[in-house]
Amino acid sequence: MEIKSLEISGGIDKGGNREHIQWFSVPCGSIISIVGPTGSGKSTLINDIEQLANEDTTSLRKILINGDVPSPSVRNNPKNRVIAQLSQNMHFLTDMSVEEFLILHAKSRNKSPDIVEQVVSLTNTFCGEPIDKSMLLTLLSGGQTRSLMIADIALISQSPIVLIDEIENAGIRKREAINELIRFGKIVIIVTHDPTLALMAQKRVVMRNGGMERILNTSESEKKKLEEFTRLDNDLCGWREKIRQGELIA
Amino acid sequence: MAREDTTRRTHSVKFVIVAGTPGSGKTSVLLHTIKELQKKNLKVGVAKIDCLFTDDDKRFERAKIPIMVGIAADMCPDHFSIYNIDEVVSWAMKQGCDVVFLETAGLCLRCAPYTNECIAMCVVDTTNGPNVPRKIGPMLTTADMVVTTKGDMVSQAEREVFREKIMEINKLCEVFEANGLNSKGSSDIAYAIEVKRNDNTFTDMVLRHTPPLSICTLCTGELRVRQDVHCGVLRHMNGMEEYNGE
Repeated sequence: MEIKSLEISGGIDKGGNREHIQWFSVPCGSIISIVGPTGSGKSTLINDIEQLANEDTTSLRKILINGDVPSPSVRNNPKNRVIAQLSQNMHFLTDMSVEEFLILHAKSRNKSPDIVEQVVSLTNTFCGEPIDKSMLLTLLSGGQTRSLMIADIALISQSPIVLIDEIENAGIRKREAINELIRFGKIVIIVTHDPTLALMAQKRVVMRNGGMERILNTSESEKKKLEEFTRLDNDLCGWREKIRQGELIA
Repeated sequence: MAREDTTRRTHSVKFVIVAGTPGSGKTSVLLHTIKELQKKNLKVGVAKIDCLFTDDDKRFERAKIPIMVGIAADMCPDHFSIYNIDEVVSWAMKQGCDVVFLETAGLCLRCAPYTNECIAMCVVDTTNGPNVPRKIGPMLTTADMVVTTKGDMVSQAEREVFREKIMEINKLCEVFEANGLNSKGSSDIAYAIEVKRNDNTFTDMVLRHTPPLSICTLCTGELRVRQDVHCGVLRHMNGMEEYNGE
């Protein structure tokens, strides 16, 4: 299925009132960020998109692809799925080795089992201590788990629409990770509190009380600011890495 | 006379038997699915079987859904619901229902309460992990629709692996991801029920799967554990089976 656009038809906020934004169309090639205080409904919005809500969730939103309600097979069968989602989960509940799990996931997405090695080595570019394919999923740390989930999305799920929920809070190399995810995604939607990620998007949706309140275009001056923020962020990341390695900060 | 009447009227009643481990979210999924069916102007009733206690009937009553409750008490809950299928169906017809759900307690993984004339729905909790579908047995392998719940607790990849494991043991079923908290999946489930063919006659229903083989002294109330007091069909740890008795 070729993706040309994703549309969100607005629903209601937590108070039951119609949300301000009643129609939002995202063309192919866009990066969109979703911002707002905690509890403002960012994850709910991204979950509505993941499950292709059809006025059947609490928000009553409707998600369309290329202007139409997607067919049941696109909605329910992972082999035809067009959306990959990185949720906020930091743990695997599955009692299996990394290898066993990746082989099964590759099968569910019609991919060859040979991809396991690649997923593991990509994982290890994001996290501190490397993982091994024989490790049990349940014993991975939060950061290792998140890194594996990201590598799995980048190499196995590889869907045209990518949803990312707070990539910054896992303590992993977020810039490398985000670059892998936006490389194949045709439409990327990022929930974030991080200014460098929020301003990377062409537009950002501002959430309040469960509803989409405003949509802001990233201005030229904001893009300038982004360069400054990125420099600051790189400096901070460098210091953080030094502290992690047990070095002294002088 | 009464029987003929039943046959004629039941053509319009869809009979959905819902099974699943306790706490898997059967009742929540049903409440959301029924809301979707009601949007289509269908009248829906629910018969709820539980083992010891239930106050789920209040949840259905609050949603203005006709509800019938049965407590299996010290009887096997699956056997209890099977014996009472006729009663449930005629109750639903009296209520004028288009769809009736029989929600079983479904504790014993050896049983499957489904009949040949029903839509068999199995609800499974995703957080149990992908090794579990293989252990659920006939309740899952003979289902037409499998509904996976609590998917928001795990990653998308785990949901997809879970589904893969279900398809490995029941290739013909339709799998739905649902969430009892936010009604995810309910419109797809309702649609699948709405479009399923209905040629129920309810005149000669049979079970899809044989009930457990266990006709022994424990079934009739023996409390002593010692092996030599037991009669009937007995099976040893090594799989050896014997019949002890007259």
